[in-house]
Amino acid sequence: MAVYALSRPRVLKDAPVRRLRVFPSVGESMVSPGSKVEAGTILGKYASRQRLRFVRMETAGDKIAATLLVTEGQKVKRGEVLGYYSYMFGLGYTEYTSPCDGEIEVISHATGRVAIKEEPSEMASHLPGTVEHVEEAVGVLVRTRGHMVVGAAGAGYARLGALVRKAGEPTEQVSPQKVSPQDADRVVLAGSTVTKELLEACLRSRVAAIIAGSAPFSVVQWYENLVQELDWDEFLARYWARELKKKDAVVPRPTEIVPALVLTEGYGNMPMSDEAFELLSSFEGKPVFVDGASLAGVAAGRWDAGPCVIMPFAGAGGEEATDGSAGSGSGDPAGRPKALRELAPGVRVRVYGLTREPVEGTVEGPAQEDSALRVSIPVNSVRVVTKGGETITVPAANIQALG
Amino acid sequence: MVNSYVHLDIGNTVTRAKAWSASAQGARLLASATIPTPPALESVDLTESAFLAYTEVKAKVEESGQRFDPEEILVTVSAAGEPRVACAGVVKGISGESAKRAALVAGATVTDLLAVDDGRLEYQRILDLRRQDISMVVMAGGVDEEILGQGRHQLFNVAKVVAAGLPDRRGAGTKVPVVYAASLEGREEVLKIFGDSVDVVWTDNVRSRLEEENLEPARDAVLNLFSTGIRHDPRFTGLGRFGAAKVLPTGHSTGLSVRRMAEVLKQNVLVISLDGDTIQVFSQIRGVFTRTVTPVTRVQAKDVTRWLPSARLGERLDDVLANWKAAPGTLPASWDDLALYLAIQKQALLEAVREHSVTAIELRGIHRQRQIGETFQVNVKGGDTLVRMERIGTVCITGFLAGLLSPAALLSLVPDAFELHGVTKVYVDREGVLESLAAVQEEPDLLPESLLTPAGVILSPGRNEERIGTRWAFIKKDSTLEPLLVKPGEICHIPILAPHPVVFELHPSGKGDVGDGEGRRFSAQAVGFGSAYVDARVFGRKTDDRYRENRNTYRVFGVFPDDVLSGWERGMK
Repeated sequence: MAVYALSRPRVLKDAPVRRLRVFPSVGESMVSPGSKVEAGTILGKYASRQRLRFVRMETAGDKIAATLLVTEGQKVKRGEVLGYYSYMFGLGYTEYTSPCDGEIEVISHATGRVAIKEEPSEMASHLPGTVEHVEEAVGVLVRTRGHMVVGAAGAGYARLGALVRKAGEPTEQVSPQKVSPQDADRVVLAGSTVTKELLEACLRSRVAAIIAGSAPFSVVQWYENLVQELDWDEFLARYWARELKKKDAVVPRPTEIVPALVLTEGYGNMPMSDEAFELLSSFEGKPVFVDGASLAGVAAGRWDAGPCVIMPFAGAGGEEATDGSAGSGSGDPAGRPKALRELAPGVRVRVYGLTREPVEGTVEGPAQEDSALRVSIPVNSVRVVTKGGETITVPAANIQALG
Repeated sequence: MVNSYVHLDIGNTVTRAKAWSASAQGARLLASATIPTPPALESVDLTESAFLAYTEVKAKVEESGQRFDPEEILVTVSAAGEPRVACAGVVKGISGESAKRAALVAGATVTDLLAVDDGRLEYQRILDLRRQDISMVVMAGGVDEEILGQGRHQLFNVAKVVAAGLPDRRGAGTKVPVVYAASLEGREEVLKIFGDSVDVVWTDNVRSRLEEENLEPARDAVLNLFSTGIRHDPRFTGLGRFGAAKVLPTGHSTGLSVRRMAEVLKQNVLVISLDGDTIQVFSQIRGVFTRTVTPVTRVQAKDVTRWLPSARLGERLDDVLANWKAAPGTLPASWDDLALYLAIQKQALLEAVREHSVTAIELRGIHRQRQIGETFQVNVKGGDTLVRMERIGTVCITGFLAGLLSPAALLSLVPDAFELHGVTKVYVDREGVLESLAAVQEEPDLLPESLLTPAGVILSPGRNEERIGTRWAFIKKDSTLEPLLVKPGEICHIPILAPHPVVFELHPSGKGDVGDGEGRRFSAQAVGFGSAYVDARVFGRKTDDRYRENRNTYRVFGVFPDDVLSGWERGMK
């Protein structure tokens, strides 16, 4: 049994939600507080992670031997020919193309390097709601209403997609064969533990996000590195080579190359909690917002920027609650102390961490002063009679009062 | 005259209330209560949990039938409300460190240290500063005079970075103030650079001369800004319900107790606060007070492995460590989890003490006359650490975990993390006395024997590489000197049956130094201890089976039951 000295409910139903949409790097907001946003609304633009991209051309002495077709300051598109080099009387031919949309910043004749400043990327809201606050350079706080599953860990950027259930029950481990290109832009609900193979299958199939119970830490670390480093060209080369031949392939935003990953329980080998699985399953086919919070480090210490899954209500953009009582985005913060105060005999409670799913019961009374965990750690506890008639002593921090 | 006080500590994990009565005989803890602190969101009233804890502690005291109306309430804050400070200096190791020390002794958390030699480009410093959630900036750099005669001073470049990167105070939309504790001569120019965009609090220079460090004015400025700022913080608006309660950062309050204790004992003192997600280290050594804060999240799994009692536990270490970093309030509930937890804490403590050793130093940059004995030494121009374990006779463990883990478990962390040397008395502050007492009483007689739990006395030759024998350590009871059991390469437990004072004596060999110089005998008195331990292991020695050694250590300290230890030995689950 895990004991949570600071217990937060993992699942929130019908709650006001505040979510900080963090710019991947320094960004500029395009919305103002109070404005309504839809899932596709662009909240702002940010400079790309790499800022400058370089193309190296053939040089001879202090000059570029290739024939240049662009000049400094010129706007270029991804794939546009910047120059070409013909050698061996025309038998050899090399074409230099732009790796991204942007502007030619510098052409260095001595080194043959052409530096291209990337166009700023757009950041979509993915979450319908109302802009509550704009934090300069950091992000935009969006307020909405809906259900929410708080993630214990995650990786990747925010995505929105229709939820598709791949696991029949929370303990089931989904095999990579179950994911296909038909799942592109969808959110995959996997049951228990995700493997590296499953994540790669989701990556190949261009899935929007994966929700699972747990994953080994080493796998999440590998995935986090992938999130940070994988660009579109690398992705095409490693995972989707067929697309190279498509001239009309749409280049996704840098944050939409790797699917978001949210783990509801944490690292290791743990099945998803029944409560989270049931709630998520009930939204099959409906759009859900998933954020792996790879950028939580940018907003360090922010409770409203951690990994989570949000199921916004239809039309939440216009009807989100304005009560400030539980506007957390990550829990019912005021609920815990209140619940502790109300742990009088007869109060119905839900016990977390005792078993895989929360257990309901009734408070019988406070436990003895010296109540302690098996490892001699003293904790404030109460005696609870469960629905099955069993009397157990539970740390008060693991209890949530009902009703 | 009897006075009653309540101390409310709003911590990151829990909020604690303690009721005290203070009389001429000393302070007495009447009752305490603990409530989980809600997440520190902008919309949450963090004083709600403090009020609940206050109500509970009041009810506990009044159970005896007497009415309890405290004369004074002290609130200490560390739950997202403590001052988060970015420090700025010209040279990182000189003015930068002075600014950092000033912020830390005020109980602040230092989020960043900007300096011209911090390895970043100017735009990176500005970006880093902008992205931080800070409540103030402490700026130092330059001596008071003759800095402008040598061209443009780097101080102004630092001021430009601060002016360009200063973020809005989150949510409030107000300016983040700057505590200017830098060159007096540079004030006019800095004010021009800051313009109207920055609120400046002018204080005395922390390094008005290179040879001196004066932290008090900057520390007081940080505390003043904290006291005024906290009441405007939407998360602490409920402080009004406690009347005109005194509000301090928890770190500062504990620091006051540590200083007082060192004064009363007339000894160097080291105090560790195990707060769950961070470890604070306080020291008062040779009259210099230092505080550091080390996040436990810095710990790496590869470093933790060496403290495990079984190889099998290592298989889960990565996952357990990552889960625990994500939720540091989670407590271990099985013996396996406790073994992993203690290994993590041990490594975190080791790193915290190392960081403290780097911060608690003689001033850098000063011109010091070498002694004859130092002729061939290199590092004698300042910057030497003050933390030498042979100088420290008292170690206290306080904080959130000190009240939860058993004294034996806490004691088992000490020998490896500290690399003790000589005679060290270890106390545990199970009731959180240190963080409240100095603030409740102006001049408390803070004798650790009377307020803290004596956990054990550890006798160790330290890194002295002395191969100690059977007649190295002695205990003096009733004026008779008895040799203590010493097993080379192992720790031995010596029960002390009599609760009255005992004296430990160490008899080093001609080259051995246990605190009073080479070959000199050393003695120390200990009161109230039930156990002593002779640690005859050689630090840094490679062992054939480190798991076995860890199991032996835990067996000696009595942390785990024997059947659990033997289960690990056999590789059982």
